[in-house]
Amino acid sequence: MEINPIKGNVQNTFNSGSPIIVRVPHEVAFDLNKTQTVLQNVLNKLGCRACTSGFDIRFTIERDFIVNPKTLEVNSVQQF
Amino acid sequence: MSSSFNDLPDLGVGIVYWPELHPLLEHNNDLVNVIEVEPQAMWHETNHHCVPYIIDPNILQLLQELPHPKLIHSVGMPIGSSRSPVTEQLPLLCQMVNDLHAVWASEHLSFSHAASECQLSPTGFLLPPLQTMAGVERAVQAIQRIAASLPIPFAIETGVNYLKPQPGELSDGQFIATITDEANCGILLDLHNIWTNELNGRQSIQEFLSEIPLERVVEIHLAGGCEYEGYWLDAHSDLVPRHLIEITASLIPRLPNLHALIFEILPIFVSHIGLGQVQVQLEQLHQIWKLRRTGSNLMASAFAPSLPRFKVDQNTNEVTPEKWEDTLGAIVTGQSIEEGELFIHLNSDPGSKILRSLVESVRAGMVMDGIKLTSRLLMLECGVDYFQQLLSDFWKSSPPQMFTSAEALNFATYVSKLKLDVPYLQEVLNFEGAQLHEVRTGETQIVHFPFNPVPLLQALLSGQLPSELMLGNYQMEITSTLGSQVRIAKNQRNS
Repeated sequence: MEINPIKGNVQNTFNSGSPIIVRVPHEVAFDLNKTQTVLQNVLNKLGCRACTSGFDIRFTIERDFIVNPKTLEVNSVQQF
Repeated sequence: MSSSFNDLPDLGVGIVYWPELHPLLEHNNDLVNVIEVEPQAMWHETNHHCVPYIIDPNILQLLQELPHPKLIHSVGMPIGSSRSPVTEQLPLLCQMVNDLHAVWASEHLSFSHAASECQLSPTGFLLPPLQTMAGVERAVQAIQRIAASLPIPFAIETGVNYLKPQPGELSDGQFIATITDEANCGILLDLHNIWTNELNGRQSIQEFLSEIPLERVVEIHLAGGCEYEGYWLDAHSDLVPRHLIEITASLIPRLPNLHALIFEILPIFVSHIGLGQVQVQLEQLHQIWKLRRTGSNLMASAFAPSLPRFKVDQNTNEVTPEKWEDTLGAIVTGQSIEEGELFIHLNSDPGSKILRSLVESVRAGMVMDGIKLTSRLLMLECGVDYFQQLLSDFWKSSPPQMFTSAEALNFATYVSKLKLDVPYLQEVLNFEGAQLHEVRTGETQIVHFPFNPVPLLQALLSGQLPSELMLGNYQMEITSTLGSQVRIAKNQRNS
């Protein structure tokens, strides 16, 4: 069964009770695509750490981002 | 294996490849002559015993389509360990060597596992081996084992070491020289590592160079670093220091078998440095590459097994490589171990404290990449200090993992068991945990939400908490992460 949440109509294409696909508005679909793109970028970083013996600044970046989400910049090596 | 080094092509100046550096390959065909690939950084760990690791075919295809010659620089099977190298990685490594037609491969003279409470666990960081003849013997065995499996020549990288020189050990140069002579392999001379060692109180770079067989150097690594707590770090965070460029320029004419000069910078620092500056750096490296001397007379002595260069008293250091690795591993990972003489000695070395900080920073970084949204939610709801304490507690209870996915999953499990009273936490944990499981198993994952998850995920991706979420029984179907398809469904019965 498929639903168009904008118009509220229901199409009986699946058995009752089965999961139904939500056909989202264009804006939401775009947002979802954008979300997926960002999440996929995250998932491309699940391997071993690269060759380096330095301080890993990924936490520092995230911590600073939480404090000020508009400045997602690499600043300096700071103590954890 | 060894003789084939004599027939290698002169590849020129190159980079360790990251997508962030890709524009440099597109705008100037002559800027980058060769690409070095760190395979395991692009792999996914699986749950399958027969196929423990996979690589995203899209990434592999991208690399294959690049016309540049490729080098393989392994980061997951260091050969400085007293235990056998992690040979389950060899099949995929060999496959990548073949798929990319790699010219040669290299690995680190370090160790990455230690035994704690009868279990062998990753240390989360490449650590320096014990530089004794017993350490030489273990390294030679590991090199020969890996080299025998590879269809191309094999070289070992000269490592960084933040510890003080140990009593009764070989000097850094003697250690490399003895190993490479006995194993008859090439040397990847990481000059920034050696310079870092000198700055931190170990052997001088000139003394090191005077001790190693220069004819075995097939490749040079150059990088930049930064200062941290009074130590210079091999952080790959900057351009090459001017002084190191000068040292390299004076050394290159003395290296008869040098075939590649590689600049290393971590992708996270590329935007900070700027691609323009990286380009200027590579142009500078092209200038010093021209200083290389070539000629058959220089090749005559290359890669012939040689007599021992140093007389070493094997009884001057009674510590075994196994004890060294387990003790240092326990100190830097915070795992428990008997506090004997070696423990007290190493624990008092300020370099151990640096290593412990670095290991913790890596572990925190893995969690950030593996479960980024969960981490942001916890920091936003509970505060950064609370989150840091969570990480610290987790590190005491669980050893590090080699792969980001495994480290992040362990932390997700740890947090989930705490049953924290944080809105949306369980749902976000379930979602990110499902993503990681999908990557590891290849199986479609279904995640249920009692609200529309999209605004929540978008808010967290923006570094903010969500304002209001539409209630309903939603589910997200996560299929084939290699294509990364996420589909949202809403259950009719409960909506």
